[in-house]
Amino acid sequence: MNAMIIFKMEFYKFFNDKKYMIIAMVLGFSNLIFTLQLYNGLTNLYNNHYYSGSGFGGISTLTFFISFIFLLVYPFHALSIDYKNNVMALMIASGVNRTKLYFAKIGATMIASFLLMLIIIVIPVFVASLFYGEVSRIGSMLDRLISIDYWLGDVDGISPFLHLLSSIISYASVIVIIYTATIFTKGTSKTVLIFLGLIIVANIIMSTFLTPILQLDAYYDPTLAFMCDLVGNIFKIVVFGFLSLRQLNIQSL
Amino acid sequence: MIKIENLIVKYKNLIALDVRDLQFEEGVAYGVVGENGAGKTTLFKSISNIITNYEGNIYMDDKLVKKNNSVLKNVGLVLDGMSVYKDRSGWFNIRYFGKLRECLDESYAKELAQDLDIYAVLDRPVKTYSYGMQKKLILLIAILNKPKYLILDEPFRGLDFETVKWFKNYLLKLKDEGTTLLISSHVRNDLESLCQKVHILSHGKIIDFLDLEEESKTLIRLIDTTNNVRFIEIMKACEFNFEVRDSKIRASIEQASWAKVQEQASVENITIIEMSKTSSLDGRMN
Repeated sequence: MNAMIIFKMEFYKFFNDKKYMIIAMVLGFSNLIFTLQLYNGLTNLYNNHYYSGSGFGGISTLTFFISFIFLLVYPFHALSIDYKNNVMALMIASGVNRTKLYFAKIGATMIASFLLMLIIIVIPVFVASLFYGEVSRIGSMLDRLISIDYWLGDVDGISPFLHLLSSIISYASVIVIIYTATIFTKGTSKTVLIFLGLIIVANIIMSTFLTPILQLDAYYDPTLAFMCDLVGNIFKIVVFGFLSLRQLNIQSL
Repeated sequence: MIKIENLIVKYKNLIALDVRDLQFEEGVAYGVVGENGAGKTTLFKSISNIITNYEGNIYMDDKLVKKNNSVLKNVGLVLDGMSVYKDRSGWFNIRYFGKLRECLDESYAKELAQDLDIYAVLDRPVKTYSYGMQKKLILLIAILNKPKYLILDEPFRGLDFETVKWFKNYLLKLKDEGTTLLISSHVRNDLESLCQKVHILSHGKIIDFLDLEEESKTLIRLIDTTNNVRFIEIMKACEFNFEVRDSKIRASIEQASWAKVQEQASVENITIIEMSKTSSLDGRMN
């Protein structure tokens, strides 16, 4: 079976997940309202020296907090849904290759999480900015983002392109560890605990090996720290990816 | 054809399945019987890649199943305990698994749903379905791709009488069209009405093979008389082949010496009180 079909069907599942889509829309809309409120308050603070958005302060903080929790929970949901519904047997018996399923699920979950982040945070803030006449600032920001010079430029000695790549790899390592925990627990409620345990173990091992390298230099070197972080995340992907894929391939479903 | 060579499935130290050589030929309906824990479900799970940590080889159409998952697109499978996405509707599940197997034909799915009497509930979440309705949905998904091989583990359990009747007719139609059927059931009548050949499993091993088609051509009867002890002596004297199972005599009355046995029994006033049709499956079903 073609990996693209498995990947497409993961998105079919994502776009038909009505409960999560509705929650994402509600959070996105709430964040839009509260961002507008925040803009309004800040405008008043700037012009009249008083902040008028305090009435929604508590609720808006709570909504942003819920949005954050939601974005954290979603990958667990997306990666464990097949186990929780006990459909892995039917999927595999339908001719799905376990290795292709593994990579399709990780890719689809990363993209779906990114789309949810767009709906919940990026689009509301963008729309609110447009509403408050920040068009020119957003326009210049977009101009920068589509310029190759910007991506190949220099921020703390590292180009924004490498920063972006590092962020993607870092997020991928988190998704791989979540999927590792999901596969080993077959999507049960222990998944979160196992995930936290794996994260702690991975970070202990990483710091054991990487701290001496960072201390080689008497001064803090951001480039070296960045490279250590990047290599550490790649290492996590390779190790946990190998373990989880091996387990998935021999698992009785 | 499905070909199995030296298949061994272990659960820790326990050997759950040990099948040295087994073949399922195309277009033949096979039954697989055995006591609980005999290894029937494990056999089906191994064929369909649900279990992969086995020793040995399983070939489907000359391709190693473990290495070529795509051959499973030709398989329809219903196992006890199998499930679908319960928070989603019946239609979602049909479309999802249909597209996954690249065989989605919505008008055919609708036709099958109407025959299975679940069409009216397909827009509802599966979690609101009864056990029987969920099983019908899984059956529908299994046969949606008009599979070349259909593997059914206790397919009629939990289904109402009308659905069982429809499904048996549907399976007979598939059999006539050349679909290979692998059915496990504890109901003798299901196997006799659908299967041509039966493999008997016990403690993970194939212990016997029955050709029901061949057997149906012979006139095997279960015989009970007013004096079975003397009747057996008469049969032995007349060189009449028979076997005794559960204190009843089982024999083919096609044998030439049957008339001689009847005559002698009559002379000795032994009356045949029962002579019912029988099958090799008697006493082997659990």
